[in-house]
Amino acid sequence: MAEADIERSDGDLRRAFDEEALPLMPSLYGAALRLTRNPADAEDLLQETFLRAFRGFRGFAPGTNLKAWLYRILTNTFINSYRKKQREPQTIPDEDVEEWYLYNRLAREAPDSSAEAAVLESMPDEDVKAALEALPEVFRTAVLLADVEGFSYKEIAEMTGVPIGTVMSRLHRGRRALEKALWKKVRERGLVRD
Amino acid sequence: MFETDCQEVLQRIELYLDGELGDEHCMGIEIHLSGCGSCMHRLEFRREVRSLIRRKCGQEAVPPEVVERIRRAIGSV
Repeated sequence: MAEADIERSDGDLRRAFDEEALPLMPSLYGAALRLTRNPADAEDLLQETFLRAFRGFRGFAPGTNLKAWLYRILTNTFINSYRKKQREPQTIPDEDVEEWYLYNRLAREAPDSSAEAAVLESMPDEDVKAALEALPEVFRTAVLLADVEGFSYKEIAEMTGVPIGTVMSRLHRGRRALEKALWKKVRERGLVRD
Repeated sequence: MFETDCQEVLQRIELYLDGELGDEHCMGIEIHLSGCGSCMHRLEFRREVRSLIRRKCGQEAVPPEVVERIRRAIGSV
């Protein structure tokens, strides 16, 4: 009998879960905070995600992408448990989708690309987090999964249960609105001349 | 071989940065970028914004009592 056919014991599963899944907790907690926008809900979402993951861990195929599997559980749990509660508007107005909004403004204020990067870099973490968290939920989720976590369109489509075209459209609109929000923060902080 | 112009490149720049373009299109974009400072600048700008978001919105330290709560919850399943 091939080794892969031998069912893993409960002890082996627990060890594998402790060694492989638990170290991903800080990444998942970051995502939970961005999605729920408050620590109490993020802690509950994180706990629910790990409980579900542990219960379903026997069904996880070793050697496949554990991080993607955990994010799928996190995203599903968030959508099913928290979306109903939050009732946010899920649209981004067209005027917030200007293609090169931030680029055009930063390029005007900064003499070269390293100066542009320095302006962005000088933004406090809280401002960047707040700009991301201000996006309506479906856009926030797409941008988080792509730009923070690096998942592919296909993975994001599977995690959020929408077609790839919808993922692309949410990413495009979400990223442009995020850039606009970043510019607002840059101005509020006085990081560029008026 | 057709030439990829600025408009085409900028339309596909997100797909390119996302690693979602086929090799053939990537090559056309890279040839264009190697000779077009304006498109290259825009590409680098988008790359910088992404890197900013990734670095500032990623991992967060989980409060020890939350780690403990989760470990206990899993242990009791």
